[in-house]
Amino acid sequence: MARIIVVTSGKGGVGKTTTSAAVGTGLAVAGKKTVIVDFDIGLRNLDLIMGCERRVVYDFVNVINGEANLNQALIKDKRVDNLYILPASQTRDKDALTVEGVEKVLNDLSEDFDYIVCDSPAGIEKGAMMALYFADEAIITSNPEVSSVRDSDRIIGMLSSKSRRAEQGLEPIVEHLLVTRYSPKRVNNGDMLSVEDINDILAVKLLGVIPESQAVLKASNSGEPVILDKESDAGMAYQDAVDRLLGQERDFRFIEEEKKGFLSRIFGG
Amino acid sequence: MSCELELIELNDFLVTGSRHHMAENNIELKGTNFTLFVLNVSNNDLLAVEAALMDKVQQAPAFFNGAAIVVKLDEDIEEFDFSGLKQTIKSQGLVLVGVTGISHPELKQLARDNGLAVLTSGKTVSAQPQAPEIQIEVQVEPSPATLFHRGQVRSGQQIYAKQQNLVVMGSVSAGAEVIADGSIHVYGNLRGRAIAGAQGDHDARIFCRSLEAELVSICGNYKLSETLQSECWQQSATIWLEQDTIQITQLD
Repeated sequence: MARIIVVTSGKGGVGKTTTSAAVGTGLAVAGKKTVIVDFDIGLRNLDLIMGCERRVVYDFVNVINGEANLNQALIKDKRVDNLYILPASQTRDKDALTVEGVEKVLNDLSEDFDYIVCDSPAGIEKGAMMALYFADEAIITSNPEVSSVRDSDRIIGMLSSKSRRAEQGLEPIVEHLLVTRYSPKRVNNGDMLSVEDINDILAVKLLGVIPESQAVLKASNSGEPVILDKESDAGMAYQDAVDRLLGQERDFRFIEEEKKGFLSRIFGG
Repeated sequence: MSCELELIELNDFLVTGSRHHMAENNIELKGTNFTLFVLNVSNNDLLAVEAALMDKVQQAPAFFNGAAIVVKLDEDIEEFDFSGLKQTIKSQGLVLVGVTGISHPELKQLARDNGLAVLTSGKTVSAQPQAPEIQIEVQVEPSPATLFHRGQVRSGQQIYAKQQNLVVMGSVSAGAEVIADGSIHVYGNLRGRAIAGAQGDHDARIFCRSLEAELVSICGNYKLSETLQSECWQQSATIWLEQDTIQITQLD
């Protein structure tokens, strides 16, 4: 049985797809057979971030409708073994997703995979509800600003009331908080919520803090999950998050403002 | 003294009628709570009852005038003069609405024959079928009625404690709404909306560990976050109503 992880946030543009790609890739690198499923029907992005947009033949909706089987629709990643992508349909809308259809696809994937990462669309409507409904764990992605945190709070409420686990009275979804686009300097200036502020409002266990980084945009545009950029701060922070997800202890990095060394202060580093 | 007499104020009688709306008859039967006096009678000595009652009533004649009263008979009593009892109660200016505590079926029937309702006190509720001619059920509301919520109330969630107090063991997030017909206690930060006394209970209050609310309201009187900033903001606070004005004071 696979572990189903939904990457969700409520608000758009906070880094759900970047996180899905990074976490999914990280799990596969760690030897877990992983599939990343794009639930954002009509606004397909995951294939771009994963750099497999030219290889999409069949998609999630085709599989639900029985127009293709899973093996035809799954795209195997060329860089990492054990990693597959199930792309969304660009020509359909969220109504193409049905509880029964999604359940069947997830059950079929469950037989072959260790992890299923569900990349949720933004919002609290059908697409997002479908993505979180069958989840065992949730990565709640939030930017350090008030509107994003409030939307995350809303989605956490949904996780605990609208999911299969909630409806059937099973053990609740394991919640993880991932703060993205964090800038310690701006926190110190008072322009940004701190990790403590966010934790105070959401009260969810912190999985990781991804610093604001040039590497993320670069990775997106080149279709390479940022976690594979091992030299970058964002890549390292995602690797820490994946390690924590797999139960290892990691200190939090990139949450304090970097002190400039003596030499770099003189020579302007 | 041949009998022990006691006047108790009791809250736990709920007289429930049929819930059907009988629109065609222009009447509506609804269950409501009433406060009744209970008179404990341990034997047949009506003269002693009269004397003791007279003694009580004279302490506060205006208070007792026309008060509804339920007589609780000792379980051991097997015979009783109900019409005499009615006279005795009436002579003191009280209104006898029913009797309770009777275990003997014959005695119950005798009470009914005398036009008295036989009430079952909440503490001794049994699953016996009720008297057919007057359909009155008596049951107990757990009191004080409280709805407990463990954990945070998230943005977009709404909790309504109908005819109850509400206790939240966690924070109420911005964009969340907690409502109670009674009082609201938040053992955490109150960042959302809190509406107490939703059905008009002026004595309802709101308590919280840290006041950061979007809105607090009691009986429809409200204050917004804008005006709350100057009063106990981010401090533990109690909020109540005084002459239709919201009052806020620090708890600690």
